[in-house]
Amino acid sequence: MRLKVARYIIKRTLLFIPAILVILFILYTLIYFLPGSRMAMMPISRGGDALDSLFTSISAPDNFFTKFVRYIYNIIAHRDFGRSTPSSAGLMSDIAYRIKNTLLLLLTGVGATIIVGVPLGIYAALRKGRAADRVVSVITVFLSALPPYTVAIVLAIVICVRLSLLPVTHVASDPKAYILPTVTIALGGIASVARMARSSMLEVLEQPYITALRSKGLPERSVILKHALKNAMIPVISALGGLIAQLLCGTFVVENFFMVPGLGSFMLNSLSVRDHFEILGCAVILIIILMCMNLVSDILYGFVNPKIRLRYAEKPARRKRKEAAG
Amino acid sequence: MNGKVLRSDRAGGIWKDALRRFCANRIAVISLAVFLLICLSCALAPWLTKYSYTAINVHNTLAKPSAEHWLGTDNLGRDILTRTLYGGRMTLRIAFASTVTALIIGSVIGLAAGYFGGRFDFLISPVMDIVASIPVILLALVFEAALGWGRGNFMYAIAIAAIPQFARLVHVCAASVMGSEYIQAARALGVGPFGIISRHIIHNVAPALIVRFTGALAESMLTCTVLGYLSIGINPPTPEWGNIIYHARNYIRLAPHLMIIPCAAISLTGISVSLAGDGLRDALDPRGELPAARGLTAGFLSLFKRRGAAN
Repeated sequence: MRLKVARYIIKRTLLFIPAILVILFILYTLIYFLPGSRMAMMPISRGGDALDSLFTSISAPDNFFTKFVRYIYNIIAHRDFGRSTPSSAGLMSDIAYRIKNTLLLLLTGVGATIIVGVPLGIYAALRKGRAADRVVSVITVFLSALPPYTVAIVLAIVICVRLSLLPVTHVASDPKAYILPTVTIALGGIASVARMARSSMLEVLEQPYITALRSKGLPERSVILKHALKNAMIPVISALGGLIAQLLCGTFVVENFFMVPGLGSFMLNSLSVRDHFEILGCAVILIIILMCMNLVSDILYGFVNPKIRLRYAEKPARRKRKEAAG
Repeated sequence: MNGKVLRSDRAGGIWKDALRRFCANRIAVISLAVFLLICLSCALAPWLTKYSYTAINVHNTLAKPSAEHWLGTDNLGRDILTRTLYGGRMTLRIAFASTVTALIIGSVIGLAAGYFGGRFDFLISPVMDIVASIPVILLALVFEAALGWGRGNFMYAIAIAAIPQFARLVHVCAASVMGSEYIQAARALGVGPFGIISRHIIHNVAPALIVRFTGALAESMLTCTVLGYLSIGINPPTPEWGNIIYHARNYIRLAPHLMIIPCAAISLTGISVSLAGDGLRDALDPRGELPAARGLTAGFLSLFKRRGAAN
C-alpha cells in the first residue's frame, strides 16, 4: 500500500517536470520572437560558470536554443530568472515580498472558496428540488455572472466607506485588510465549486451502495458525512488545479483594486513599460508555483481515489504475478 | 436516396423534440431572447444611436439621464448609451471570436483523439492538461507583451485557454460513441473515418458541445472584461465594457450610473447566457446522460468511468 502511494507520487512528479519545461519553452519562444524584443539582443550569461565556459569552449553560436538552455540552467542552478532592466539586482530579489502577498491572497481565496462552496453545494444537493436548492442555484448563477471588480467596488463602498468597518487599501500589518480581498476572490469561485459539489453529490447519492447503506439502517447523517462525502469530493479535488488558475484572475483584480503590492500589479506595470524580461520571469515563477500546487492536488486526488493509485501501480503488480508464476 | 431521407427525418426529430422542450421552458426562452436582443442592439449600434463613441462635450459632463442622452453622459460628456452599445460590440465580438475558434480547434483535436485513440490520445491528453493549467491571465499578459499591447492580442490567449475544455468534451463523447456496436457495423460496411465522424460522431457530440459553448461564451466574455478592467485589453478611447468600468470607477460617488450601466450590461448578458445554456441542456439532454452537460467535472468523471470499465 505504502509502496503504491510512493510509486504514484514519483510518477506524478516525473510527469510534472516535462510539463513545466514545455510551458517554459512556449512562453520563452513567444517573448523571444516578438518584434523589438531585447531578449534576442541581450546575452543571457552570468559569466564564469561551468555552462558558460562550456559554451565558449565549443564556440556555440548565441542563438535561440543556446539562450533557452542557459535561461533554464540559470533558473535551476542559481534561481536566477533574468533581471529587470531598471534595477541591477536579480528579478527574484525584486519580487520576493510581492510573491508572498499574491500567494497569501490566492491561498486564502481558494480556502474560503472551498470552505463556503462545498457545504453550500452539498446542502443544495440534499434539498434537491426544494426552495433551498433553488435559492442556491439562483445565487450561483448571479455570482458566476458578476465580474470580480464589480463585487470589489460595491463591497468597498458599502463596508469601507459608508460603514467604515474595514480599511479600503492594503495594510500589510493589519489582518483585517485581508478580509475584503479574500471575499472578493472567493465569490467568483464559490459559484463553480458549489455547482460542482452539488452535481457530484447528486451523482453519488444515486449509487446503489448508498441505497444499501440506507436500507441497512444507518442514520442519514453518517451515510452522507462518512460514505457519500468522500466520493463526492473526488471531482472537486480533481478540479482544484483549474480553480486555482481561475482565481488567479480575481487575485490580479483585487491587487489592482485594493492596492496590494503583489505580482499582478508588478506584471501590469512591467507590461506598460514593455519590460519583457520581467513579464517572462514573473510568468515563469507563477507558473512553477501553480504547477506545484497542481501537483499537490493531484497527489491528494490519488489519496482520495484508490482507482487512480491502482492504475499507476498496475504494471509492477503484473510483473510480480509473473515472477510468482515463474 | 431513400436512406438519406430517413436519416434527415430522424435527425430532424431529435432536434424538433429538443426545440419543443426548450420552448416549454419559459425562463430559458426569455433569457435567450434577452441575450439575442443584447447581441442585436450591440451589432446595430451605429444605426441605433446618433452619437459617436468618441464625441466629447465638456459643457455637458456627468449628466443625469435625459431625453437627449437616454442614460446620461460620462466624465468627458460622451453619451453613455452609445459607449455601452459599442463596448458590448467589442466585448461580444471578442467573446464570440475566441470561443468559436476554441470550439473548432478543440473539436478537431478531440475528434482526432477520440477517433484514432491510442498513441494520439496518449499525446493529446497530457498536452491538454498542461494548457488547462496555465492561467488565462498569464497567457494574456505574455501574448500582449509578445504581439503588441492594446490591439486585442489577448484574444488568442482566451481562445487557447478555452481549447482544452472542448477537446476533452469531444474526446470523451467520441470515445464513448466509438465503443458502440453501430460504429463497428458501419466500419464493417466499409464507411471511412470521415463518414463515421460526420454521420455518427458529430450527431452525438453536438448537443453537449452546444451546451458547453454557452458556458465558454459567458466565461470568455467575463475574462475579456476583466482584462479590459486591468487595462490589458482594448485601449481607450475604443470602448469595451471592462475599460469603461475601469475609467468610471473614479466617479463612483459623483455619478454611480457611469459604472452601474456597463456592470448591469455584463451581468445581464452573463446571466441570460447561462440560463439559456441551462435550458438548452435540459432540452437536449432530458435524462441527464451527456457526460459534459454538468460542466468540466462530469467530463472528468466519465473519462474515469470509461477507463474503470476497461480495466
